[in-house]
Amino acid sequence: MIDAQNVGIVIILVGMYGLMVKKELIKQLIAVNIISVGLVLFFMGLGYVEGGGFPIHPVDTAVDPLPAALMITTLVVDVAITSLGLAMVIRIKKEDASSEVADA
Amino acid sequence: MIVIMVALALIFAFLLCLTTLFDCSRPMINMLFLCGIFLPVIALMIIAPLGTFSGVAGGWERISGIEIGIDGYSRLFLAAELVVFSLVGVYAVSYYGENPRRNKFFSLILVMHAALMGVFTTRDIFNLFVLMELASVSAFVLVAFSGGKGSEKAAFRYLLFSLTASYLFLLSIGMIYSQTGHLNLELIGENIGRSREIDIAVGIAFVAMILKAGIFPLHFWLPDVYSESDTPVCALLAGMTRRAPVYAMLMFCIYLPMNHLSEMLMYVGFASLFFGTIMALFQNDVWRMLAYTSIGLMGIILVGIATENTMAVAYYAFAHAVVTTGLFLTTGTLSDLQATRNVRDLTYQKDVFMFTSIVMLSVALGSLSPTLNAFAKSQLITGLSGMHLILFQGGFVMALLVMLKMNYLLWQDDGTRPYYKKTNIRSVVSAIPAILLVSLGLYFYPVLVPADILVLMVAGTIFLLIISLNVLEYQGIERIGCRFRELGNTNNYYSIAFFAFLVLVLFYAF
Repeated sequence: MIDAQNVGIVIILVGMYGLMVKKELIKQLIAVNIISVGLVLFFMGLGYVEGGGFPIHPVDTAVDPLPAALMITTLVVDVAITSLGLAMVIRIKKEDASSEVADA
Repeated sequence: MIVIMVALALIFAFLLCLTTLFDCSRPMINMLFLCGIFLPVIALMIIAPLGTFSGVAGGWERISGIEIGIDGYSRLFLAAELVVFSLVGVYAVSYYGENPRRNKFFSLILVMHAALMGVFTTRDIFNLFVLMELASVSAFVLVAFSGGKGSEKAAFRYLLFSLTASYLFLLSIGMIYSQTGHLNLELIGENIGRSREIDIAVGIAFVAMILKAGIFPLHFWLPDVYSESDTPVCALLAGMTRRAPVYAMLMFCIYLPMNHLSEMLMYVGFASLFFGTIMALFQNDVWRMLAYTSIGLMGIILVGIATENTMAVAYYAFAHAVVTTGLFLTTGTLSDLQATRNVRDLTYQKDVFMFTSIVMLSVALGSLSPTLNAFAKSQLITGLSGMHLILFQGGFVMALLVMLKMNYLLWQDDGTRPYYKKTNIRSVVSAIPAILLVSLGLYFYPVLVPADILVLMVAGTIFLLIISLNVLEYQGIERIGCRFRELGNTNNYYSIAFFAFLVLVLFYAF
């Protein structure tokens, strides 16, 4: 059966594949981001309840809000570390370019 | 009160960030930094005598809130954290004295301080993940800021794999939540049943934590990170940052069923012990030598977790944190003065203070009595028998062999190297871990263990054999520098190794 959890795991595997085969550092960082997206989908699937409503209203069945709350925190961590990683890639590239000039 | 400990460090980190806007004087920056380091220590001294206690943040019910508390395990980890940060804090004030970016370094160190205190007091696994990430982010930036030639490349690799491991850990948290409906460790323990999903979740969590703790075969990021960092950063990474995943593994071992995984962890622990110590023997860079020794001795912790000897693991983690911090600070002080990290060029012969410190720390690293490490080793050994016991002692023989080699080479002096003629603050701070470990060893374990003497004799005999065969003349492994493209390639190979290990552990956990 296709549900959010299974699709999330497939996306995580796609990210892992990217880490194993992509040689560019930026692509490797994107691969880690793909793992993160898969993880978010997996957690969304955990909280999903068939026919469930908003958890802030008094309804009979509501989706579990906790996985969504956790994922908001995870996304903040993800954005912070990705930007840090991208800054590092830029600096590594600059450093290598300058050392290549020096070698020449 | 526990929250105040964490908040104090964060407040002073924020104030240090503000100092960049207001052109504050150097003593002011140093004072803010030291307040951020020491005020949580004072707060802990006030609450520590109160015994084991816990509470839920915001006064919520335990089932819906984040529980924080201090028990026997977290007390030891917190004590190690506060000792290591106090020492490194004072050392860093002297080390970064003239550095124009010192407030950034200090601020990042305080963020790491706050995050690690949070890690060791939380009872919520998601909170543990977030705080561990906060500590890791500080570590990535501190490594990248360090002056080493390849520090950014080392930091990038550390970031890439640490982040992947964190996401795998989060995946396991999701699986545990789906099975138990809780994130609180004690509630998970009370509601957990035997299921295939839990086995897989625990397996994934352990693989992620093995990578973050830098244990063989997922240690590949560690030697480069250590050798490219500044002395205080390296001491913090070796001493404390790697204790956070150890604490996470310990909590999983206590509250979640290990089942088949214990046997696998035992094999991995012994493999790490021998791999790390053998690799350390072939290193020329003193920090890479210590990094590989540390990879080896982290295997001991994994063996303790496999035997579910949890309190012994906490004692060993404390002792190992202090000894590695001490060794990195002492060798860092020597190498900064003598402008080399090559163990063949370094010397402590004329510096009695450094000589005494390094010898005492070497004894502690080899877990010989009377040191706290010997006490922790005596606790760990109780869960082992037969071949496991022989391998365990064999690992310590190898660790002692590395220490004998290091001290033998440090004793050589060609007379050209400078040394401290007067005792300075960095030497004094570097010596404190040695004094602390021996004092605690004399208090907890004032006995001479015959097995220790045997281990020392075996290591000494092998070392004499090595000298007589001129094996020490072998120049060791030179570090291969990596370029931008090569970094991408090696990351691919390491990723394959990482995921292959994950599949192997999951296969075993099934």
